[in-house]
Amino acid sequence: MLFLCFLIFLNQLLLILKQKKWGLVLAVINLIVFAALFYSHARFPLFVRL
Amino acid sequence: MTTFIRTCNALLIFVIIAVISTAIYFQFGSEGLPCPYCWLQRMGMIGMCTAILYNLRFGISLKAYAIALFFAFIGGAVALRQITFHICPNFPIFGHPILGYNLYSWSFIVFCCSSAAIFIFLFFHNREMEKPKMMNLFERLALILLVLLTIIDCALIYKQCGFGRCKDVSWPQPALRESR
Repeated sequence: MLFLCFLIFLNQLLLILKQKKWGLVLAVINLIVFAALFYSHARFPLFVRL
Repeated sequence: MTTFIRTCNALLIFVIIAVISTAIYFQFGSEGLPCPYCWLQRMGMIGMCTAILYNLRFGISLKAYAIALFFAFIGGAVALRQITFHICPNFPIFGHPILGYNLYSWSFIVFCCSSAAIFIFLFFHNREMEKPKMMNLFERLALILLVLLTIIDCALIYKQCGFGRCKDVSWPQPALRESR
């Protein structure tokens, strides 16, 4: 969780430093990490059974 | 129109900052430690606001709106998943209700309303808005407050979870723990 928070903070730093391209790339990476964290915490019963 | 939409973007960020600040207030007040889902929902809100900040910094862009919508969609899914844990009758709830709803229900409402707001912003989007403009004081304040809030959240996550995975304080439920 700390890793995701740090990545979002890094994204904000890139925004302040006017690095639009790398900022958007990092935002997409943040999204993937966020979705992966959700999946790892979600305990979906269907996938547990599989 | 561009100024109006930019102000609305900044207002949305202020609303989300107010929501997360309230959650932190209740965390220190009466709610106790937040669960991993609560953290994920907060991260979703901060990620969504960061994407919207790109609009204010570099001119309004569809890519930033797309990323913000994705964050809102996954954040809403996290909130919905937490609601399903507590939806059964006579099942214990996590935390104390505020104005009749739990924090995770409010979170789901916030994500839905934010998505609706972004859809409205997209409806009024035109090419002229994509030109970069200097951030005014209101927008700079939104940026500073969001960065401060992210630093505070980083510190709180480090205090609660360290570098590893957050311990789940809401699952298994007390009733389930006893029955096992």
